[in-house]
Amino acid sequence: MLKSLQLNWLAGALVILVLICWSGVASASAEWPQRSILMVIPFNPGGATDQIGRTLEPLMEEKLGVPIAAQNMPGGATSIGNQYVFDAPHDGYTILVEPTDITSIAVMGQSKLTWRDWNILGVAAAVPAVFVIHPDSSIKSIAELATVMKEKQLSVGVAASGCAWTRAISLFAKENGVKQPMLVPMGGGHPAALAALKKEVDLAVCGVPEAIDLIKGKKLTALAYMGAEDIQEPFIPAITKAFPGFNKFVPFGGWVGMAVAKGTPANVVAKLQNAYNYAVNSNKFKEFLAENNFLEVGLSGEDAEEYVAVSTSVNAWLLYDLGVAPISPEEFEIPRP
Amino acid sequence: MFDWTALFSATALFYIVFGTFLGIIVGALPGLTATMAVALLVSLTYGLSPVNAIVVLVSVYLGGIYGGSRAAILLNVPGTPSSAATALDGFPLTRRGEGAKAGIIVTTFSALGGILGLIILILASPFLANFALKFGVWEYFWMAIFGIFMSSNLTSSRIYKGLIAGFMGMLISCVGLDPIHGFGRYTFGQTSLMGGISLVPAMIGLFGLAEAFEAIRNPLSHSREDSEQEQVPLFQLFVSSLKMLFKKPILFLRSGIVGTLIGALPGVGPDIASWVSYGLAKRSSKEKDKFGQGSYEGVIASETANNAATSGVFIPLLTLGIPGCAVSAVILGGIQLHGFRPGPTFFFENLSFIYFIVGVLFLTNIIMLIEGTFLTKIISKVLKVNIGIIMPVVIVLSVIGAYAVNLRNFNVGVMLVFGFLGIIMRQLKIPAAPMALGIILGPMADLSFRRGLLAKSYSVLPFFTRPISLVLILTIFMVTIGPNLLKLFRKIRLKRS
Repeated sequence: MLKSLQLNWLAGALVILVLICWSGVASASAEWPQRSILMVIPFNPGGATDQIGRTLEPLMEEKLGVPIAAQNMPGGATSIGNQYVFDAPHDGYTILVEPTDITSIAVMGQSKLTWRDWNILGVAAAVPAVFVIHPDSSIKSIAELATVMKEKQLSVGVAASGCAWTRAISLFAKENGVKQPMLVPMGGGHPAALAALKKEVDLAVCGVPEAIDLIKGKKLTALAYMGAEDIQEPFIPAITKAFPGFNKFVPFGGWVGMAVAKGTPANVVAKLQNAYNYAVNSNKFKEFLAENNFLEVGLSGEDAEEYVAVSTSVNAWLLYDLGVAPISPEEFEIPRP
Repeated sequence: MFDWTALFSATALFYIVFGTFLGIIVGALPGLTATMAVALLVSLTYGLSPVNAIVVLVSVYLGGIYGGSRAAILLNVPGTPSSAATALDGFPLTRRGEGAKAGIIVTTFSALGGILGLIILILASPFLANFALKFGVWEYFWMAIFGIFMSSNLTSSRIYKGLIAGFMGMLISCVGLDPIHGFGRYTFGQTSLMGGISLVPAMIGLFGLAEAFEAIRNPLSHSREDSEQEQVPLFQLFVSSLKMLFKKPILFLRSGIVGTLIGALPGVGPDIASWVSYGLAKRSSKEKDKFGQGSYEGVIASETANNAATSGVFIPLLTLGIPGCAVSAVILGGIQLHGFRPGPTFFFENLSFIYFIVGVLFLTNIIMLIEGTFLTKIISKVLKVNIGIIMPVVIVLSVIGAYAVNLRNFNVGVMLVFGFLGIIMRQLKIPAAPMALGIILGPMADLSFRRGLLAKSYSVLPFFTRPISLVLILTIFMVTIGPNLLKLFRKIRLKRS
């Protein structure tokens, strides 16, 4: 009795382990995909990159027929996630949700990787920047913010150094001729919004979808967002109302796409491209974008690559000219826009 | 409207029973953590209805945190990081021949702890969530330091040995790309080190491999006294553990409340909760010297707290939409995927959904109690097999577990290195648990410290002047440093006289 129980337990444990291992082991010969795919999200949970990744994941899964496991790998302004996916075998089993930061990590000295190292499957959505502040703060409008920033160096929560939100606040400071703030990278746009909520920082800049629930719940006040038209529900004024000079910049912010390393076999890229296209064109994804105040970009393949190349030129030179980026874009052969 | 009564359908109940069971098994196996189990399962749940998907994720998580205590008590190999404190007293109890009794008591208190946490969640969620928001980066820094000091003080008779391990762990966590600027630290130009040292293979090495070698080197270290306790029927053991509840109500309440509060702090979670609760229990116990030698109070404090923390994790998740740990991020993703967006207004607008989560947590704790009670008896019998058979199996599981993390041979190497490190540390009587905690909390201390400096123009003052920071510093001093200094003074005075 005892003996058989022991054996049963051991056998059971081994079977479970073997199953867990099998789920990852590939047999190279058969048709791709043979096993589960790892989707790396290079920012913390709750942010725009995370939201887009986790929404696309089940949809792409439907098309590919194998499980996709999403894993957050934040740090180094996405350079940790970028490096991880790039170092993994270029076999399509590791894919990356690629936010705007690929345009800046090279000139920020965070990574050697640029868009040229990636097959961009697509750029799904743009995320306009929003300036949020604790409701108790004495600053009540974007115009007051500019006034205060003239006198005082504020601390500003952003996602990572060189990120889209860094560019937004640096541009705001430069255009208004006020002090550049002290930037505090919080590891994602949502954590940045929370830092403002917890009064760890004076102000936070993040993506509209990342703070929208907190704005609706009146936990945060939105001073303005980097767009042309006011958002109605909840009300968020457009920055151009107070500062018409920003008309030439809006919509300003980040974008989120998806990428797989260059050098991945063409047939694998084609299958991933197919699944990606299916996912972004589904009603479920479009509804998600609309509900959360994302702007649809909807570029895929070569169009997306072109978009990322242009975006890299704009962002890298902007950061360099603002004095935020230490390395010249010329070193990476990034042309001036 | 969300139909929360679907929770009581046969399929949902089946998923709870099955998910909890799977969680317990995964948690009990050294190296497979609750977090990993949830991450692996989440993509399998997309085909399920929202109710069933959330049910599976929650029950696997709770089962996993509880399951970690099994191997900790019976083999001295904590199955998950949160049960490292349980091993301190659980294993001596096993050696005394009271493994089954300890197992049942822990099971009962895990479930009761979870339910106590749940009651706190229902009564005080919005209030607690707002309290949790008072913890800024400065406080998170001290929380991390607190956790390391606490476990250093508890795992070794000389605190400096624990601190050596703890701070080595924090240094090890620095290896890889720095999380703010992305520069490589301690990578020595090796690309394999760029991604850092993962916790799981390191932990398997320190606990699993080192324990297996220790047992093979000295089989007597795992010998057990025969005890009549093993013959006592299950029901009687269960009743005696309930009696324990009435004997130690303060211990239970304190551990549960501490666990829930720490669980409610986003990013802190069950790992620290068990250490803090264990430390408080030791300080206020009448039988302090029994701690570490097989104290029931010790295992109760640690396991009540870590399961209460699993309820606490849901407080910021449901009231503010803040995921505290990897598991709750996955669960939040699951909830959002099915059209719910937890945020500041969510708690009051979606009461039916809150009832549902509360129902899932409650049922899972009850099922865990039933399954755990029956499994304990079986597992403790199984693990009575000759140590020469069990330990080689542990070694095989260690290798598989390390490889399974992300299918890299590199991690098997990491596991082996930490295994040998663990053996050396045992010889030097340096405890392994603070090192594991150091690896977990290192990034939290590092990032919080640097963010704290950046946010206040490089001033270190807020680390000392913010009220909660000050309270934390004083607690660290009173609980860990103070008593050790007193001991030192007494020694010096003795030598003089």
